[in-house]
Amino acid sequence: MEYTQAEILQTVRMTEMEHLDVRTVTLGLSLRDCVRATVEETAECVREKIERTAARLVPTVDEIGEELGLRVANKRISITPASLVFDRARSASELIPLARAIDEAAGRVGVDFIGGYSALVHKGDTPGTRAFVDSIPEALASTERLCSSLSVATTRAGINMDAVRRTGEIIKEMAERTRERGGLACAKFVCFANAVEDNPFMAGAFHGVGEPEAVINVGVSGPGVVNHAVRHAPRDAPLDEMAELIKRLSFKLARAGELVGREAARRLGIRFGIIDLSLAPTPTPGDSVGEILEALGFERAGAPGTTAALALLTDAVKKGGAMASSAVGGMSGAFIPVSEDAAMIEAARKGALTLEKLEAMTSVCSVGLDMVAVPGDTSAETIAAIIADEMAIGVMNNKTTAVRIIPAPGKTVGDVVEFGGLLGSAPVMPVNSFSSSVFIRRGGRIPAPIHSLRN
Amino acid sequence: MANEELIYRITRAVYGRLGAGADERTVEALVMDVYRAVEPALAGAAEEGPKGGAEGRADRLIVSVFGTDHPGIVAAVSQILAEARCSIIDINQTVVQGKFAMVIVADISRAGESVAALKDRFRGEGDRLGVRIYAQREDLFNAMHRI
Repeated sequence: MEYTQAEILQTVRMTEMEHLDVRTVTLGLSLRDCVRATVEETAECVREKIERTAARLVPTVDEIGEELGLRVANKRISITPASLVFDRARSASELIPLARAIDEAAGRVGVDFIGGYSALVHKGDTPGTRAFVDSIPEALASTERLCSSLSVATTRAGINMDAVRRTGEIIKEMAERTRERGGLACAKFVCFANAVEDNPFMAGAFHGVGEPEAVINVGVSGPGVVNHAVRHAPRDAPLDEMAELIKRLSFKLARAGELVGREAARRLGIRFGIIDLSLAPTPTPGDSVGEILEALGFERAGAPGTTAALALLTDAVKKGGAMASSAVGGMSGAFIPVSEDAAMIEAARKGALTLEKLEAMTSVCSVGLDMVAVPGDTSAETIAAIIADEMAIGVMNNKTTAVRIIPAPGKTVGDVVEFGGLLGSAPVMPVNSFSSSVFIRRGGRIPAPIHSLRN
Repeated sequence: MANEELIYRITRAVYGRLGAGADERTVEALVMDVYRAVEPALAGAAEEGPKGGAEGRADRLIVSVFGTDHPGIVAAVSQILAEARCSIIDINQTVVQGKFAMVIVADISRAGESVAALKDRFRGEGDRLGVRIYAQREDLFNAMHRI
């Protein structure tokens, strides 16, 4: 036998019992050739192109998943930032037909989310992007599958604080427009520092301007696999051994993911892009980054030392993946979305995990404050200030950071907001109640850090 | 001779499951069915040399079966493969403390049905036998366990 029984058992156990899946196969699609004189013509071209290119995406990927016995949880599409496809709008309402066309096309090809209703405003805006940013709340509230993102900071450009301030306002507006659904629109919006152009994960996926016509990107998951291994390791095993264990598993996860991606690319006749190694949790018990952290030796995620443990985890995942594939890209690290991770939800409920601790943890993981619910009466300025902190961590540390925050309408600390499905349920977390409004109202730009001068 | 070795292993596995009292002619017919299905694939593998196997192949399935031991498991699984015109390339089967474990490497390049259909039949048969039957393409194992 070419493989030992132990090897076969390990793979079967991972796929059948430890929730190993490919979290997403995301088709990145350029819409730059859809620029037309009117929004109607643009929308029609966009609709046609998405439906034509992605027609076989879902059945093909499902077929591969079935053959390999490796579930592909989600099939998604990311598009050229829509603000670049139609930059002529001067009012928000002009753009809604475009948003709906994208959403409808996504529905017709059977993907669960389509990302890229996005704008890059990290150094400033145009009249077109101003109207575009204004349109995001209605676009997300009146569509089902559409996801949106804003790039508001980069290490090279600094932080556009006018955009950060405006982001706080539109997040409040989104929450209000989807009040009866717990502020659901906010769960489909994220703002970035150092946004990644080939990220396959939602809500932040978009198809960057340097990307080719079409590309298949893959997001691998596997917190369940790592969790199982860490839990079954001796409780007194030193941390370097734990890092080694995680690294070896990450290698295997990455190889499995790359196989799916390359096969999908081959069958669809679209080039293969990247594999994103992020450990992405789901609300399923066991499939949790929080549980991995706890298995490393904490009573609850968020206890002192959690940031160090997360640093070990993220780094080991990257090292294993980088050895496995030369096409590693996207975020590649660990996601810590509170509402989508059973152990994180519990830790937040118990008070072990605070917003401030999460913020610290984001300095060593792949994204940022993700799927965090805060009281509905949190002001737009406070939300903007939370974003500013997070963007500063990204800009100063030369890494991607993001904020996906939900000021849950009518809810307060101790309540829980139910989003259902993969988005899970978010415990409303307390926010520091002291005001940041004067700082936020200053606007302007936080200059790029000295280490941006690298040439 | 590798072929005799394989015939011997299939026969042993079938008797192992059906018991020593099994009808000799049925066993012989079943073993020969399985063997005939396997033979062309063996020749193909010999031509390709070691490299073909070492890279993991999309036209091979690894069928793994786990559950409580009782007679008839090997026969039922190989019957499904034979009916689908899948050759068995390798079989490894053990029973430890009443727990049955079997791994079959099958060539599906001449299969008369899709992997999805085959897996459906395995699921049905697995339910009937009270065991779990998984089928996954070989290249997944190669990707995960071989550099």
